[in-house]
Amino acid sequence: MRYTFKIGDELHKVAPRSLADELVLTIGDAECRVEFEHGKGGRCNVTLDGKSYDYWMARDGDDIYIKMSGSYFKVAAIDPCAAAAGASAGAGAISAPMPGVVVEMLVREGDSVVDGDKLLTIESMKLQSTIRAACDGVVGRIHVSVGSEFNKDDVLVEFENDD
Amino acid sequence: MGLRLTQVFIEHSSIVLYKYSSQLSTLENSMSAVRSFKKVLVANRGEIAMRILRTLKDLGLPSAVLYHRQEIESPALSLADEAYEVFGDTPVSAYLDIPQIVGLCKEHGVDAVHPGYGFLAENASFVRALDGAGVCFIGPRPEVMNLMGDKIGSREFVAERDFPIAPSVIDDGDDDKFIAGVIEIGFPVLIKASAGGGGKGMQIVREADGLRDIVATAKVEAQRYFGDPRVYAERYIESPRHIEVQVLGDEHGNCVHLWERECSIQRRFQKVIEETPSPALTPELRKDICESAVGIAKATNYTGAGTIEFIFAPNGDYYFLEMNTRIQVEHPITEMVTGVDLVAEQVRIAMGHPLSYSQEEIKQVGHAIECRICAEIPDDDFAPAAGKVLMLRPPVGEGMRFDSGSYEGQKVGTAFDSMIAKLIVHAEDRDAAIERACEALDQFVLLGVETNADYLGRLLRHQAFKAGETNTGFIKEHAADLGPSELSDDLEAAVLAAAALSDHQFVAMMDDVPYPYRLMKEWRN
Repeated sequence: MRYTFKIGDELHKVAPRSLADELVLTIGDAECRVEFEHGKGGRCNVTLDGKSYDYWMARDGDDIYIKMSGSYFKVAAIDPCAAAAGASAGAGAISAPMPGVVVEMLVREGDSVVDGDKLLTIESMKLQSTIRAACDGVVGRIHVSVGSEFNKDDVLVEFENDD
Repeated sequence: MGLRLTQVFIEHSSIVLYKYSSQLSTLENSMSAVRSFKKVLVANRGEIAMRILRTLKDLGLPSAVLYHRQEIESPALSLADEAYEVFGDTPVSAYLDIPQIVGLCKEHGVDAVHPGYGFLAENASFVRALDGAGVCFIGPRPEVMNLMGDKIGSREFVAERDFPIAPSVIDDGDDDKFIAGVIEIGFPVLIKASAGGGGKGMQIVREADGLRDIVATAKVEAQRYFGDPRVYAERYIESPRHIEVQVLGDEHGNCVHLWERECSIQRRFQKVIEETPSPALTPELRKDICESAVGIAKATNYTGAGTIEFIFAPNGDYYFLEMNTRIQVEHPITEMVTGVDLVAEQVRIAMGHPLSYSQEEIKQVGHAIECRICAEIPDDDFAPAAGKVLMLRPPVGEGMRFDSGSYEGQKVGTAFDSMIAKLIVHAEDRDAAIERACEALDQFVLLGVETNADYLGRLLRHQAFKAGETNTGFIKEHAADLGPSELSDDLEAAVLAAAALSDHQFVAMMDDVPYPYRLMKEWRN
């Protein structure tokens, strides 16, 4: 079984594989000999094919936060089972990119919209942004109203594709 | 009597303590002639609450702090002797609730309030309400606050006293007179709607040709956008720097400056990196701009800590922009180079003491830089980020200071602004300070919320920044060079290996493969 991890928008597959008394991971197309050390206070070290990296790591659910070589990385672990099941279900919902408050609703349930139409305005940390339709379609159930507070990834508006 | 401070760095804590080398008893003795405080309330939160509480502790003053229900785990609560809950529809509205805060002062015997920055720090009604309740506001008098808080009023006040303001002309309906005025200002000129704001209807004009048409169009646009056709012209300064001067004034008519800070590195009109001294100033210009600032503060009979902000043109001209009548976010860099505890001075001034320092005693030693660490995503146009602080490791070392109210387990959300910490460094010169700031950023770890920490490193390492070629458009101008560097294949593989090895399911699956655990020393997850 291969596991999928997402850095930015790119998906990468990693699989464990052992040869003799070494830990070997298949990362993308490459095979790497890996040594791992879990040190004090969250500090870790990983050695890939003889090259050593110190890093700090913390995990919140499927979000993995890593600081390595002076840079920060956010990696999402994608559960292989959930990914297969959720592929079609989530397609018609627009979820919140960040926590915030609804400032303005610009559409009603049943409205027809085209790609790029404004759906609603949200405010987060004094910053307003507009959520737009990503394709042509019909507005389905609206889960929020003006003044509603929401968390990251909450569903704001359901969306029916014009197929 | 000077209170020289030395810094003591405490490992594994996000605070820096100040210790006074002179005796506090001297302070207590001289207090008998003036007011003394029984209990000081910090009407603020987060890093600035922590910063003020540390000084109150050093001064031996009983302290209290406000908190909102969401902040019950904030380290400020344990640093203060007492903590009072404030209520409101939103956390911010609780901190802005004047009757509630004045009521808490009366109820708990608070006789002085330090407002920090933001919230009620520049609210004259708050000062008057405290006056009415017999509580001392640690800051300037409300009349001065009102005078200098008004953009147009403060500008007129400054101009009348012959301090430099950007040449400007206001349209009074007579087009010929206005155009003659614009030509007299000299080009480039910025023409904007008198009633305007937010950049709408603003136009930069570089030559007299076609000026009449441009003015006519500007008036039509002003009418359309703001319902008022009047326009206003001001000398436009290309590639300006933001330079400000810290001042302190007391009730005895003394007023000093604590040198300048340059805060040109900004995004969305908010400062990101500040430094002192400014690389742009010659000793003569520095003396001149600092003396102007003292002159302006003196003219208002200023009492407390304040900042005079200037816009600084590449040719060395500078103009008054506004005055901030409070302690500022970036005050630590001034403390680093002068050794003056600005909050202690604020408290002493409010007690009625004369300033602890004469102008000659305030020296600018070495170079200091502050980086504001914010929960935001610089590569997505600085969009705010949210999350939970999972791991926080402040940098520790000589010349490093970390001011923060953040803690592991803290939820960073939309309730307050996005700044979560300030990383301040001090070194012998600018190059060494930049290097130290990079080191401090490398040491600093905050996981669980995306921050601008990587981006700050890219700013500090940029050639133009290193060369001191800064201006308020720096971030936009150099946007192309400030993006993340390409992730190498090797590093990407290491990150993926680290991610995979953090995964319980992934590790559990490796049970099926023969030898892995032998090589995973001290695996404890």
